[in-house]
Amino acid sequence: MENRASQAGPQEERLEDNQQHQQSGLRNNARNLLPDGRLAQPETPPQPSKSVVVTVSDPRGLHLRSGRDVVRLASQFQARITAANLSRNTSAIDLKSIIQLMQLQARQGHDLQLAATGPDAVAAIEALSSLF
Amino acid sequence: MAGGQVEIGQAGGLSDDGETLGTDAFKILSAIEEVWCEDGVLLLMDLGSAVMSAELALDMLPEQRRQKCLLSNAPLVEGAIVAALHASLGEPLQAVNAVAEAALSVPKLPGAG
Repeated sequence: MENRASQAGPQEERLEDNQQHQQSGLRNNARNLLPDGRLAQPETPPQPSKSVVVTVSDPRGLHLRSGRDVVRLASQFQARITAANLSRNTSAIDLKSIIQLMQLQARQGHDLQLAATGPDAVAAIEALSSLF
Repeated sequence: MAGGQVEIGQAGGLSDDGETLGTDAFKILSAIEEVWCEDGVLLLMDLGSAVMSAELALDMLPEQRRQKCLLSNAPLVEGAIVAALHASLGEPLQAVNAVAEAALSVPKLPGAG
């Protein structure tokens, strides 16, 4: 609980900071305008992102054939999708590549963190979660 | 490689019976013709003269077909598996080759390499 409280603190501060920036941005809007009237640094809208931890249920682990289904499904989404094997402490790999997926060496019971960023990130994670 | 089925041919051995170690450009040529697909053909080779024979085979192909063939630097076994899988997803030839060649730098054992 202490951890959560300490995590919440900085997040609240950041939120306040953002609000302050927005307020000062409103006040100083004129400075950010280019001669032609456009904003000098338009903020890009944040991409939707979604992350989930799944546990490999297949007794044979994540093998080539089941991996193919994962890669095939992942490839149907625009979002950038990564996976990391938390049980082996691997770095995140591109889930749209079978050779990288095999690097996870995922066995039954291993926890994999799936993360997607992009317009269809939520749908991608929901669909992929059902494969494990 | 339009998704789904992927044709895989093999051309190993020097003599007609395939029992002499080596490669035969004509065998490779007929293997290419056998699996021919308008999306292209990816050629995976093992060591030594395989590369030279594959190049010879490409030289014997009509120009129009040769342009759709690609010699891959991918490892034979891992490359074949990865290429077949990604080709079955309907990915274009260059992309299939890229993932197959990436298999060169992937260690088989966790923590190795």
